[in-house]
Amino acid sequence: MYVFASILIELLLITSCILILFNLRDKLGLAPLYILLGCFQYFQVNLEKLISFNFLGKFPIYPGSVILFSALLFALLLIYIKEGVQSARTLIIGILISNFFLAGLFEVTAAQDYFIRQLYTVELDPTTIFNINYKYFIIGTIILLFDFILLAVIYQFLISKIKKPFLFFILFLSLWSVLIFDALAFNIGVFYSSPTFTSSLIGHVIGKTVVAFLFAAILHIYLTYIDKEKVSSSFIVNQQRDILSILKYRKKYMDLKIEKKNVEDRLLIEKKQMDIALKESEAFNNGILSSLSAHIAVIDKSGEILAVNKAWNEFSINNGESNLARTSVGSNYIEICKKAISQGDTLSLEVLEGFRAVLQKEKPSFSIEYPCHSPLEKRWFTLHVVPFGSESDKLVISHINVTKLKIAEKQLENSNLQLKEAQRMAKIGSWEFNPFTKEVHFSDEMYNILEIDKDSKENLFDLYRSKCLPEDYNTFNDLVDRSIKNEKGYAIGYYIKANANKIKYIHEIGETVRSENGQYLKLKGTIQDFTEDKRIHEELSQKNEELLKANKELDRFVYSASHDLRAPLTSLMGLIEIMDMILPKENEDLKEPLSLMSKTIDKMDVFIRSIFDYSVNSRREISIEKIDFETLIRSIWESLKFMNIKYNPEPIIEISQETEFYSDKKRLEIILGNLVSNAIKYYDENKTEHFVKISVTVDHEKAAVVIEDNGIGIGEEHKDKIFEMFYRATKMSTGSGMGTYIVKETLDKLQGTIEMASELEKGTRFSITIPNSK
Amino acid sequence: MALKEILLIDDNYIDNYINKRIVTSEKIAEHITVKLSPVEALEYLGSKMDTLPELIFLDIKMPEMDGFEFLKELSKLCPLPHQQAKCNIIMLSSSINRKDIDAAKKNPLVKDFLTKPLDPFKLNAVMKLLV
Repeated sequence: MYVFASILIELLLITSCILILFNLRDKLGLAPLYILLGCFQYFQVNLEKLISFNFLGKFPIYPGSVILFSALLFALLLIYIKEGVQSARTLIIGILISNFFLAGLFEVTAAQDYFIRQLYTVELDPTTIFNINYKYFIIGTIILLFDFILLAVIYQFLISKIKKPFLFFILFLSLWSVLIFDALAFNIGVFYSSPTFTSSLIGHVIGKTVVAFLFAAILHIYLTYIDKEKVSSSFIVNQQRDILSILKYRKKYMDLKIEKKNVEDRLLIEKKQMDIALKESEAFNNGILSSLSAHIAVIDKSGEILAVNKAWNEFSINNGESNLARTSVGSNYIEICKKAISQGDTLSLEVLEGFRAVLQKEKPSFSIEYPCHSPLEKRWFTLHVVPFGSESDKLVISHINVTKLKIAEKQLENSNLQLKEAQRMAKIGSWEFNPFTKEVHFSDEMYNILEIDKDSKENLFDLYRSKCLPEDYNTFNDLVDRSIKNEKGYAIGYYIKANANKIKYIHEIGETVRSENGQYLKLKGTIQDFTEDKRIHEELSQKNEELLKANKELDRFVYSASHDLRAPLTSLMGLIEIMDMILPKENEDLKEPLSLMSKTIDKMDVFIRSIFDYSVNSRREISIEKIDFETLIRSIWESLKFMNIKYNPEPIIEISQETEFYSDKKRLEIILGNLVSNAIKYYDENKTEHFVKISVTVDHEKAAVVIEDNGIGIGEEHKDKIFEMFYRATKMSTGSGMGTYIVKETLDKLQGTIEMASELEKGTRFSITIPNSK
Repeated sequence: MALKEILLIDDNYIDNYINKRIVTSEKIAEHITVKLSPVEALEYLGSKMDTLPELIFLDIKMPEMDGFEFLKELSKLCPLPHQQAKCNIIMLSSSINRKDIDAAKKNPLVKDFLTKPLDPFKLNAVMKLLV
């Protein structure tokens, strides 16, 4: 019983030594383990035949040898599994080499021992430990080599065929088959044909099976529980080696080495690239953040500011916080808000509520606009809060200066208000109409003009149509169709029935415009309440019509009046003429009253002519024609020839004309007729020589006409008034007071001028200019 | 020189009287025919196409037919140039309207336009035209 206990203790001692050294391989390397195994091998070689017992009385077992030999295999398998082929081969080669050196060393030592004994004549002891049985040794060593190789191959074969959970079975089978092979090979090689062969073989098989079981168990425990794999993807763990890798490992090893180097190089390059990319991306992010004009900060849920961008700090510095004590990284934003709330700031209260809502994911984000006026300018900001990432309890706060936007907004609001006001005052409404959907938009004033309730739920287009007169519908539809077809605007005036008692006149202007997406045309325009203008316009055109009618009637009246008034006068003149002719010589005293009658009639005739001329001048359109002054003056002179005047001079006419002259002939007749007849009429009876001189100078701009006489002249006191109506400058009663007034009026109409120079009893000179209308 | 016949066409009795007296006193015609309307005058002229009066004084404003309408009818009656050349027509009116004067002067049948009243001066001027 003590035998088995000692065997067990030996086994445990050896395995624990191996495992401890193996476990310390990271610190000590494998060399101590190799040395230990070398020692075991040496010990085993020498122990071979020394200690044994017969199991069940007839099967010899060498416990020390079996355990040590198995321990070698155990260690090899352990190293093969955990440290790879290379280490396992090192162990095999090391043990083989040390075996041979050891054999040599034994031999040398044995020789040494022999010579020393001869020298000192010491009795030869054939049992010296340095005498090695070479047959045993060489066979054992060669078998050991095969054992090692076989072990690796069998293990590798089994691990590739059988699943990992059966690791114990694999370990046991590997160890056991190698040990049994060893037992067979050793006993065949050493004891074959000896009488102990069978019993020795059975003893080996029994001992080695037991040991194989124990070592497999220990190895399994160690691998599974003590030295278990930390990295699951390693090459060794997967044990994906070639079955014969223990033999042809060299090439593979080199390939792997190159491959490993390549992988390492690649990894290194990738890491460098990643570093560069990371740095660039950081620089990029920083660049973006600092180039943003928005002030951005990141705070955690307690309110601590974790990061800010450049604009944030600059704003703080520019707004009186030079040391950034309150707003830089590390300050507490929520605390600042709370402080502000305690001072009665309601905005901060809203902001905190926003923070809370975003943090608790009640809202995806939070925005608030607030005024932040500096002493120098009015400013508005928008505070925007979003979560920092989707799963974070941090917040990103940005303050964006929206002053420009706000000012633009206010201006827009103002101009809208002004527009509205203007529309209201001008009674102009603007509208938009989509002819395809009949969708309508009205400005406020549209509702006022059309008298539609702005809050009405009815269709706006129908409401509008209900105000229009049904007889206009077709016109409107045509107008819209044409407008859309020709892409042209329109203007139209029409009446609407604003309410039961009120008709309004509307002036509408429409234009076609492209819709926002450019796909179809719609109409845009204005309507204006023209009711008042229309009324005035209608009144005006009615008045105008009346006036035109009155004018026409007046013309007809003047014409027939001049004729009908003159007709009896001319009859009277004729009768007086006849009376004068047939008056007998004895009734000479009747001549005087007849002559006075004749003069009275003349005066009346002149007056009628004047009125007629005046009417012609004021009413008739100017009609331009070529003027021949010579003919014109002669014909005027002719028509005056029969004026009832004793004196009848020949005219002196001087015309200097460098170009053709164009003007209104009838008006020229009125002007010259009056002036010439005055020159003739007001001749000076006290003079013996009389003349009327008419000189005309025509150039491109005008005609200058001077009518000169040596008549009675006009007194200084009258000079300013002779162009007034009904003003008479002479006591002679032939004038009507109309002549010079009509001359002036007519010249004004032709945009001409008139000047007069006169001296009593010397004569008068009228100088007129008439523009050349060529 | 004395004319065979002078025709006076005027609706106004007084004017006809005056004109007749003046023409008579100047002794320029053997016969003076007076017609009170253009219609009558046309009838009269139509009845003696071979011996038309050598001088006709024609008023403008008359009822039924005015002077210009008479001229139109007369040119229908005497469409041939030699017939028209025989008719020496003088418009004699109290109108001072330029329109009337111009229209009269433009008409090829009209020799001259005179403003009433007719007097020996004007008559002699007309006679000079006829020579």
